[in-house]
Amino acid sequence: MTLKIRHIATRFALLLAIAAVAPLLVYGFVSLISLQRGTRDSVITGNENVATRAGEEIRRYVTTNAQLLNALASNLQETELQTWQQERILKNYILRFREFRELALLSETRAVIASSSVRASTLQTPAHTTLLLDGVAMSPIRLDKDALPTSVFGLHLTRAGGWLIGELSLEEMWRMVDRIRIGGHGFALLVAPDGALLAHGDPDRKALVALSRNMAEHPMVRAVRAAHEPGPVASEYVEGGVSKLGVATAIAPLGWTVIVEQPTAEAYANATQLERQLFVAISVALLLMLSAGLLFGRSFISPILTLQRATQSLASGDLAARVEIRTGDEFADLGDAFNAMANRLVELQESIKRQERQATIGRIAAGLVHDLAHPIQNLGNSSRLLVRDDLDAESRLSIRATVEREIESLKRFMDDLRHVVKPRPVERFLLDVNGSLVDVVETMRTEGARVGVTVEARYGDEPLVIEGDRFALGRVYRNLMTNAIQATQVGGRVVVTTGRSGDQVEIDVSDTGSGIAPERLHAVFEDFVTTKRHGLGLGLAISKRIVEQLNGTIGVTSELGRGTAFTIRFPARDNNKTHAAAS
Amino acid sequence: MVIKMRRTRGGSRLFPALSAVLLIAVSGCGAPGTDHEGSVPTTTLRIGFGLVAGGSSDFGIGQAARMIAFDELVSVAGDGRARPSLAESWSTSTDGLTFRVRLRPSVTFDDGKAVDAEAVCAVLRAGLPEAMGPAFDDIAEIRATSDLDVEFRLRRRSTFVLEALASVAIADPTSKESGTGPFSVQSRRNAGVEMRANPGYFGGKPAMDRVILEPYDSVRSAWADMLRGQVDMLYEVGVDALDSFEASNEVNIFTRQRAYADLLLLNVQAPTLRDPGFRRLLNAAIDRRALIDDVLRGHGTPAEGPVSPRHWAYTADLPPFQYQPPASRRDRSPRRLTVLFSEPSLERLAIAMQRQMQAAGIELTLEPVSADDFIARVRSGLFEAALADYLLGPNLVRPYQYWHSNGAFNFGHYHNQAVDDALDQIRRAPDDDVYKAGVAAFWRAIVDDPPAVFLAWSERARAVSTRFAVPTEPDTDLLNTLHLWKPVSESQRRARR
Repeated sequence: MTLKIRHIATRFALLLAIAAVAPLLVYGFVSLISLQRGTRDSVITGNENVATRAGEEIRRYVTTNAQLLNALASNLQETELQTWQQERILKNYILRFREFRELALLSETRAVIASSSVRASTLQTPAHTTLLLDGVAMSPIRLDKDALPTSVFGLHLTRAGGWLIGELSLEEMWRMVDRIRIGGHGFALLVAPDGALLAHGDPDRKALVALSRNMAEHPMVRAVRAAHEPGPVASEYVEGGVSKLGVATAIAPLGWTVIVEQPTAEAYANATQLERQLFVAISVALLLMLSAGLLFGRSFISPILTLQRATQSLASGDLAARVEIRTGDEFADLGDAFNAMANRLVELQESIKRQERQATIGRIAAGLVHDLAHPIQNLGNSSRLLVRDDLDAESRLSIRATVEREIESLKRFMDDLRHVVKPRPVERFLLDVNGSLVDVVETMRTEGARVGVTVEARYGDEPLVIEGDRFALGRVYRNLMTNAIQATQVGGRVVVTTGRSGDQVEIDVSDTGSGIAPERLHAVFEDFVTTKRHGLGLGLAISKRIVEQLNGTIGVTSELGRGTAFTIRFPARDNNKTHAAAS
Repeated sequence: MVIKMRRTRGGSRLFPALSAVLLIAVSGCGAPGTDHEGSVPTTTLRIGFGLVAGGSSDFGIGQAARMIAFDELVSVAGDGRARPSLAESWSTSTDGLTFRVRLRPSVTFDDGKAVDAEAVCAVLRAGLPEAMGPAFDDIAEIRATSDLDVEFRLRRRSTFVLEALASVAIADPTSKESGTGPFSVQSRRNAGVEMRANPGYFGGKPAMDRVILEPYDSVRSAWADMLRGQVDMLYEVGVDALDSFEASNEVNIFTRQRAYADLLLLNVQAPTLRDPGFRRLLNAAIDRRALIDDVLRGHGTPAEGPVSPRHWAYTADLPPFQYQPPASRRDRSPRRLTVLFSEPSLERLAIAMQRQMQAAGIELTLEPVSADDFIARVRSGLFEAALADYLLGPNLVRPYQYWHSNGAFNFGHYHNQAVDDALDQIRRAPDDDVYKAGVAAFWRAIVDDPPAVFLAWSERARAVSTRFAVPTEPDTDLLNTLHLWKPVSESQRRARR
C-alpha cells in the first residue's frame, strides 16, 4: 500500500522530522540507554557497597563477640578467683553484653563450674566445631528450644583448664541487620552456610527466620556460591511477584552470606524518573519540531495555495482572478507574473472576440452580398428587359417568372434573417411526412438536375404521421436538400428517405458529397456557421430550432469524401383518428 | 471501665499478689482468625500466653481467662478513680455510713440468669473480706434493697469499699463459673483455655466466636510463634522482643503503663532487715533509671515511692527514694541478703540489682525457685527478700493489704504505726483532701521505713496481629475491648499499609 501525502505542509513537517528530529531521536535514544546504564550501574555499585559494609559489620560483630569471650577468659584465668567471683564476672558480662544469652565456665570434664544464669546451666561445648575465630570455636547454626537460630562459642582455657562457653543471642544481631536499610523497602538478609536464614531486616518477613526457612535456593545465595572471585555479586530476580535488585557478598570467614535486596522499582526510581524526564523532553522537542515544521510548511506553501486557487478560478472562467502575494521573495515574483499573465489573457480574449466579431460581420456581409446580389441582378436585368418593346409575350412571361422567383428567393432570405432575430412560432397539425415532402422533393429534384445531381425519394410505406407545421418543415427539408445538392459533385446523389423507427418517425437526407470535417461537425447547427464558401450559415441553425420547436431532434453524421447524412426524428402519432386527420 | 489486670480472685490469700507475678510471662499463640467447624465458620482469636516456669497454670492462663470471663461492679482508671462497670452508679450518704450501688439493668450471666442485687450481695459477702482484708470490718451489712440496688451499711466511713469493688469478680453464686464477661470458659485442656463468645454480653455480642489461650513455656517461645503467624496476640511482649515488631505491618504493639511495680519485698522479721536504716540503704543503693535503661530498655518508670505517680492523689513534692552513689555513703559494712524470685524474665533485673547492691557493699544471693515454691515461701514468711512484679494499684487498697499491720498480704510482717495511721486515714477519708493528705503521710512513712526495695513501675506491651481491628480506649486495657475486636480481611490489611 502506498502512502499518499497530499499536502506539502505535511511533507514539509515529515521532512523536518526526518532531517532534524531523527538525529534528536537518535541522540535521545542513545542518551536514554547511557543514562539507564549509568544510573543502574551507580545504584548497583551503591548497593554493593552497602552489602560489603554490612558484611564487614556482621563479621566484626561476630569476631568482636569472640574477642569478648577471649577477654572474659583472660579475666577468669589471670587470678585465683573464687567460684562466686567467677560467677559475678560472668553475670557482669551478661548484663553488659546482651549479645550473649548465657555464659558458663565448664571444667575439663564439662561440668558447670559457674554460670551467668541463676538457674542450672545447660550449656555444653560446641559439638561440631567448624570455625575458629581468634581461637574461639564457633558451632554451626542450630535451632534452640524455641526453634530460633543460635550458635555457641567455646574457648578452651589453656592455663586454668576447662572451657568458657557462651550462647549467642542472634536476636541481638537482628537489630544490626534491621538497621541495614536502603530506601524504604530495601532490606538485608543474613544466611548461614547451610542456607538457614539467620536474620531478615524486613519487619514483615522475620517470620521466615522463625519458620526456619532455608534460603539455599535464593538466587543471590546461589550467585555468591557460583562466583569465582570474592566480592559482591548483583542480580535481578522476581520474588513473590516483585522484581528485585539483589546484591550479596560472602562474609569470610564465617561462610555466611549477607544479601541486600530492594525492589527494582525503588532501586531504579531515580533512574526511571530521569529516563522519564528525558523521554518527555525529547517528546516535547519532537512535538515542537513537528508543529514548527507544520506551521512553517503551511506558511511556506501559502503563496502556492493562493496561486493554486487563482489558477483554478482563472480556469473556470473568472478572468478577474488575481493574487496578492507580498512575501518579497520568489513567490511574490511568481504572483506578479501570474497577475501579468491573467491581464494578458484578458487582453487576448478581448482581441479574439473583436476579431471573431469582425469575421462574423464580414462573413455576414459577404453572405448578404452573395445571397442578395444574384436575385437583385436578375431583378435588375428582368426590369430592363421588361421595358423593351421588342419583347414578345412568351419572353415577357418568362421574365415575369424570373422576377417572381427572385422575389420569392429574397423573401425567403428575409424570412431566414427574421427567424434568426425572432424565431417564428410554429403551428402544430397532424400531417403525413411523406405528403409534406413530395412537393419539396420534386422542386429539389429539378434544382438537382440543373447541377447534375440526382435527387431520389424513398418514402416509407406505412403512414408516418407527426405533429408538425407544414410550412416550417418545408423550410427544413429545403435547407437540408439544398445544402446536400450544393455539397454534392456532379453525378452525385441526394437521397431522401422516410421511415419508422420504434415510436419515432425518421426523415433522412443523405448525400454523396464531400462530407464535413469531424472537428467542424459539432458546430454545423450554430448560427452563422457554414462550410460553404458563401452564405450566412443560418439554414441548419434555423432548421434545428424548428425541429426542436416541434419536439423533434436533428442529428448529423459525415465522413470526409463519402458524404453526409442528416436525420430528423419526430414522435409518431399513430391512431386512426390522427391518421385520418393527417390524410 | 474495667482494669482487668487488677482483678484478684480465688481462694488463696497469696493468689492475688502472685498472680501478678505470673501474669508477666503471658504471651499469645495464634492461628488464622477464621476457622471452620463443620459448615459454620468461626472467628477465633488465639492468645499466646508465656507461662511462668514451674508455675501453676491456674495463676497465669487461668487468671487471664477469668479476667475475660468476669466483670466487677466498678473498674478503675489509670489515675485510681472508679468507673462504672456492672454498677451503673453509686452514692454515699452524708454521714458516710450508707453506701448504695445501682446495678446496670438487664445484665445476665452467661448461663442466662439475671444479675440482680441478691446475687451480687452474695458474691460481695464472699469476696470482699479477701479484697479488703481487715478493712472489711468497716462493713456492717450488705443487703439488696431492690432488684438493682445494693446497700452497704458501714460501721465507719470507708473509701476502700468502693475501691475494693474493683477487685471482686461478679460470678453466678450458684455456679461460680458463670460470669458476665464477653467470653466464657468452654474447656480447659493441656493447660490451655478455650472460651466461647457470650452472645448476651451487656456490652454487645462479640464479633469473634472464640478465644483460645495457648500456653507457652516462655514469653520468648510465644513470641517466636507470633513471628511465625501462629498466634494472633501476645498477652505480654518481652522488652527484648519489642523491637522486632515495631516496624511490622503484621503486628500492632500496644504499650501501656501498669499499676504493677517491680519490687523487692522485704521480710522485716529477718534479722538483717529489722533495721529501717538498712532498708533505706537498700533503696538508696538502687539506680532505678539505670535499671530501666539497661535492663528494661527504657520501658518503665522509676518507682520512687509506694504510690503510682499516675494516681490522682500523688503529688510531685513527696520525698522520693533517691539513688545515692556508694562512695557518698558512710556505712560500708558488708551485709548479705538472699533474694527469692521465680520469673525468668526478672533474672536480668535480679542480676543488675545484685550488681548495684554489690557496689553498695550488699551481697545478694539470688535464689531462683518455681512459682509454686515462690508462693509457698512468701506465704509462709520463709524468705528475706522476694523479687516480683507486684500489683500496687491502681488504688490504695493494695498498698493497704501489703503494708498495713493487719493487711492480708503483709507477707513481710511489716509494722509501722505511722504507715498504719496513714492508711487508716486514707481508708476513712471523708473527702479528697483528707485522702490526699493520707497518701502523702503514707508515702513519707514508707520512705522513712521502707518495707521493700522499690525498683520500677512496669510498662508492658501486648502484640496483636493486624488480622484483627482493635479499638483502643484511653487508659483501658485491650482486653476490655475484646468484644469489639473484629477480623480484618486481607484486602483491608493491604489497604491500611
